[in-house]
Amino acid sequence: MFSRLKLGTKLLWFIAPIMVVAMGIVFTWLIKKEERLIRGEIKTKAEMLALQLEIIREYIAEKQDVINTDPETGNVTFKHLNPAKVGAAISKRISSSTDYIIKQTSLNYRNPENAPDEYEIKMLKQLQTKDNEDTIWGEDYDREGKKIIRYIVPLYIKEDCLQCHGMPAYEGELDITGYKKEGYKLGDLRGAISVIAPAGHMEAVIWTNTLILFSIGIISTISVIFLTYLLIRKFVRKPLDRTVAATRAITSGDLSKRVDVKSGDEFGELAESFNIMAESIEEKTRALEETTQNLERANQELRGLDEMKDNIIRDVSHELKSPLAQLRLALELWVGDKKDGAKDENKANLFNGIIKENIKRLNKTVESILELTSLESGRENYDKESLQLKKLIVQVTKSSTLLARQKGLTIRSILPNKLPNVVVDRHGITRVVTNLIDNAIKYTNSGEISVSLQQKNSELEVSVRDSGIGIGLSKEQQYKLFERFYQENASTPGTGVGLSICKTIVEAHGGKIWAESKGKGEGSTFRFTLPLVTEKEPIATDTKVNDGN
Amino acid sequence: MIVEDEKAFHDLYSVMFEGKGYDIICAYDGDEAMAKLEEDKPDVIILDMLLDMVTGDTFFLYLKGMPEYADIPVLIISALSEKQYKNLKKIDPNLVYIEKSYLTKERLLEELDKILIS
Repeated sequence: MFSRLKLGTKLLWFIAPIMVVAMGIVFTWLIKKEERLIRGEIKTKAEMLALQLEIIREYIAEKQDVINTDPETGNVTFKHLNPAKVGAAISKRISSSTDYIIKQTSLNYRNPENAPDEYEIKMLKQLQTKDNEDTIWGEDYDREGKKIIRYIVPLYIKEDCLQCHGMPAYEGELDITGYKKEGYKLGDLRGAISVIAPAGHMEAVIWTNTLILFSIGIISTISVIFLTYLLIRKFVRKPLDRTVAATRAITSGDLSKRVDVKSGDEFGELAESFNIMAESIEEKTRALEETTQNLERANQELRGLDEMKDNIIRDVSHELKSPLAQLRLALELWVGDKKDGAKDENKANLFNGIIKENIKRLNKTVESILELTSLESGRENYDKESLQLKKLIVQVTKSSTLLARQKGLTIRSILPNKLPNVVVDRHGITRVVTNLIDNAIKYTNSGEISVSLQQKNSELEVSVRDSGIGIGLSKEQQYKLFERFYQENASTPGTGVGLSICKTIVEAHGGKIWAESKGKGEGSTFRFTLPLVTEKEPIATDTKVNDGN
Repeated sequence: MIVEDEKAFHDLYSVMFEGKGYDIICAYDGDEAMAKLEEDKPDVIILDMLLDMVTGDTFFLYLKGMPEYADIPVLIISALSEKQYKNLKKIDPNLVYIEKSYLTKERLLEELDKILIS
């Protein structure tokens, strides 16, 4: 249960009780201390008052002779200024001008104003039973219910007291003041000075201070809780949340995610090492992806090669096996007929035709393959000369016209005059142009074939456009047309090496060859370029070929 | 029915079937074969594989997919080797195959007889 709480709540669970207990102890101690201080202050005042009164009384008692004796006549007359009278008068004055009540009291009082109250009676009786009791402190409540502190200072009979309160010389002897002498002996308890100090303000002050302290306690507890929450939020939760969010993002695949914590504390360190880790993961994943991609590509290439190999086998099978099968069948049937002695002129012609045609076909295939192999091996010797490409094209077009006419096609040439000469192998380039035009005728059933020549910067571009069956391959796949033995339509007669030969020748001249078509049935255009070079600076390939020999 | 893109083969087949009493339907590709199939249902189809447009295997799949033609026996005569037709054999176990390199009049007539008798 506790372990499931959030970090901040956990901390508060510890901090809050500790704070409450600590503040409770401190505040209680403070309040007690204050109470003691206030009480001490009240007591000191009460003591001072009582002491003053006591001193005055003693002084008055000492000076009775001086007070009552007339300095001139020496006659003694009571002047009504004995300790009791003076004490009572001063007490009255003090009581009326301060919050303190001070009075002299006795169980055996002469002046009714000095009559003891309940508390004083009790204390006086207590003092009587014990000898030389010092002062008495007590606490009580006045009639209004306000707290008061009571202070009783016992008054014992001293030498000076005996003249008024001592043993009467005779029964009913009166002292100078006109009261009967009580017959006290030295050291007897005569009465006490009683001080009533108001302590109601003490309670009020303590109550107010308790309230203030309590408020401070609540405010500081709330502040601490709030502050803890804020601090944890700012310094712990936010960086933690960011780190957690980054971890989740990375787990779900966003490897570029980093933690944005810049502080230098432990979270900063955590974020930094997390970022380093993420960096390393990203790098490794990227490397892994790259490797996977490379493997996938390699695999695809292998599959492509496999497919190409299958296609080559298929095409070569067709180109070699088909004519061979026809030859064998024709011979078998012819020989069979011969054995039977049948003499059918038509059949003989048919077999003869098939045999001738297929031998021609096989010858062509074998020659093409050999030629391509020879070209690709780089041993072919190009005999380069400077010539007008236009003338060469016109010648090829002328010789192809008959073939085109047989299929009802027309060949149109767009050949501008005054184009610079090119340095090429006449035989090779003738081969290329012938091949392109032958292909155009082969794959076109109606319409026209146009051959054009134009200069483009430092190159001459030859293009052969037809309105034939077009190319079904995508733009990216069209390079396959120029690969050995590739045939888009397996049944088409031909070895599939014609374009491959063209490519080898054009590239050996430093040019490029490519096909363009909008798709099947949309016709196609084959273009090749030849760079314009002067006879003085033969192209690199040429040199290389010559060097090879 | 003979489905074959080279005229020379059509000529050779017709010589071989001379006097055997077969009615021959000639088709030069799968497309033409499909069209002629509707006119006249043949007893057996001699099928080449490497054809223009609709190739032999496409035509074969079309044939086996049509209830009214699925029962027509097929004899494949192709330049390709037999192992390249394993998949087709799975569709029709009765499929007969002759590689063009090993095609003879005798072999062809023998296979045709077997097919037509069963």
